[in-house]
Amino acid sequence: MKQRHTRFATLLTIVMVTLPLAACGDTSDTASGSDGGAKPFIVYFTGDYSGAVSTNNASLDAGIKIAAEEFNASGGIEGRKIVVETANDQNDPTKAVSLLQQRLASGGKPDLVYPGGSSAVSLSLLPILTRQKILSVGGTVSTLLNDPAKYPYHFGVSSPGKDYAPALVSAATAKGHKKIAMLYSNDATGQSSAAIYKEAVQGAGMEFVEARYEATSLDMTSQLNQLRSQNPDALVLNGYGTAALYAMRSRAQIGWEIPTYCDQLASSFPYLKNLGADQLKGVNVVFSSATLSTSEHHPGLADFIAKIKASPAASGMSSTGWGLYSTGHDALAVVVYAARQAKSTEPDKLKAALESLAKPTGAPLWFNAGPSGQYLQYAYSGTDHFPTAGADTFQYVAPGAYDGDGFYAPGKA
Amino acid sequence: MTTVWAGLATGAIYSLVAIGYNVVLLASGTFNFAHAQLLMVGTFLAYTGAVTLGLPAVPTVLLAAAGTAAIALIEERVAIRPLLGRSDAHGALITTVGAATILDGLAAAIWGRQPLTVPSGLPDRPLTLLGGAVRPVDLALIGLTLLLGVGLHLWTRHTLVGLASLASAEDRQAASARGINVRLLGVGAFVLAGAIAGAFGLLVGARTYAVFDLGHALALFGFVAIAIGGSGSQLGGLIGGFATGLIYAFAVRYIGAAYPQLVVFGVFLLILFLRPRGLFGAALERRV
Repeated sequence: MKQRHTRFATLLTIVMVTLPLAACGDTSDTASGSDGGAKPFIVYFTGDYSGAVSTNNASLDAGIKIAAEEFNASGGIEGRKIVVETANDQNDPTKAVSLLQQRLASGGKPDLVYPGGSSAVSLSLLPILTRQKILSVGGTVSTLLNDPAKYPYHFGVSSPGKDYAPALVSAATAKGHKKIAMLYSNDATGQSSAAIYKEAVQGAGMEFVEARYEATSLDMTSQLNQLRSQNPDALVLNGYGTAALYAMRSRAQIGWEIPTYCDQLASSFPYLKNLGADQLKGVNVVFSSATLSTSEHHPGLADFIAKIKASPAASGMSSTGWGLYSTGHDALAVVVYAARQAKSTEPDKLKAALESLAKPTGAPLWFNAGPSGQYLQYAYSGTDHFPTAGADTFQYVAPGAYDGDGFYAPGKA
Repeated sequence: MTTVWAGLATGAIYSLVAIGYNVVLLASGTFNFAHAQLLMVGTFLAYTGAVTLGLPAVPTVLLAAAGTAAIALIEERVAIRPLLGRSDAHGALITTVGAATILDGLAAAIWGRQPLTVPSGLPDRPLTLLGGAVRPVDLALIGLTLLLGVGLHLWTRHTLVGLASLASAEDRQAASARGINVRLLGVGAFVLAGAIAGAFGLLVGARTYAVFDLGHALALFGFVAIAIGGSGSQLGGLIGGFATGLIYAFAVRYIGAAYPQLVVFGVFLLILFLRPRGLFGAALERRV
């Protein structure tokens, strides 16, 4: 009798253990592949929720959640409800990989991954996502990420740094400049920016001279005097925070009122909070035409901005504008648009649809591309998984600040 | 000449860090790695006084000096005092690094990560002096740092407390046996170093902005400054700081913007090889 009880208990245990495992396998298959309408479409969003770039991450997070809510209200993605899962990677590639592996081991693959707020995190996740054939769409812009042969399931929604250089070349050519100087940070970001501008400037037939500064520099008068001795016609500046402030203040101190163009990073710093108009004479910052207060607005933007203002992350709009929220939003919007074309949420079909995405007629589902998608085209191909910027996508304007609706207002503090 | 002024102004900040290291080292025998962070806290307290509270310059300086002295006192009580009397004398190096990390984190949490402009109250327009451009705040920083360094040098050589701190630095046990209260001297040194760091917060912040990671850049070059000038010598710390600033500025200007750190650390190594006690440090006998 006792032996029979033991056998029954063993059998019951086996059944209890096996059933959930079988169910997990089913969830995984459905979620990642088939178009079973009842299964939610899982978006795994990994970002920094508690560290140095948590403010930026809050904007991205709010944007993708607003998008999920917006598309769920109109039936989800191909009939599947969009569910956003979040992971706090603290902008640490190692932690991001560990959290993703835990998520995959827990059963069921996500359908879409937003792979972190920095290129380093994205690069650490892409090998795993590629192996698992999981689609990822992100706003990080390292050129290493745009490698469809290596990472066939990854797509970018933000312009890479090289797309900003034509705006400088265009401004410099219009003013007849012959020699461009660049002051940049002696780190990977600065060197990458310098390489982009050097290629663009020399490609346009102008001379390029350069000087670097270390992260520990408290003053840049020596670097600027060195550049000044080479008689350039314009200066390009790379840097953020105190580095950008030291450069501007040192430039004013030596009385060098040379036309100055900030690169993408330096443009994002709020100069008017810290410097006077006399220290910013001749300084220009580069912004996407779509985010300028003076540009024509996307018809859906007012509603999107109202949702941002109602979200818990509303306070970030004064420092990042609506553009960063839109990066999170647009990552999902592009996939929803591709799914509508593919009539599927299966990763390979979505990938194929993205690589032959038809240009939307009228206003696109995404906002950063402008009211009719004229500023940024998601014309992905089998060899290019990043968007394409046009000649008028970026403009140099006077330093300003974001207004109450998150539009950049040149010249206004 | 603009390069000279820039080197001297930056060097003055390195000198202040070196002087702070020396004040504590002489009196308590501890190398306070968190001193650069005390200077950083001084800039934030100066910002709080001048901008948040809208105080004039003198009350702002007093507020920053008192606040930073209090933080230095807490650091001494929490990070140094528990280690006194232990056989492992190097423990304080670790705990002061820990204190530096905590101060960085607290500053970022309280004042944020964006740089804050600290108004010195002096005109911001650069002057032309001896053929170079220099801001009035930089001149004030250079001049007051010189006064402080020379003043502390004379004080340590010609006053009873100063001589007691030199005796304590040389042999704590012997100094104690001669009736010097070495523990009180150590506490007083932390408070004095903190007060100096806070008092200069307004001028330093006007040059560097108040930013939570300022200590990282200052700690390294402050250390180079006392290694060049000689640890334990206030005059050495003063001159070492100015020398470091000038070498850096001239290396950027005339050798190349890619090489200033290499040149500074080249000089640092050269001094270590040729004169390990620094330019003004005294050689001490040690029984081995």
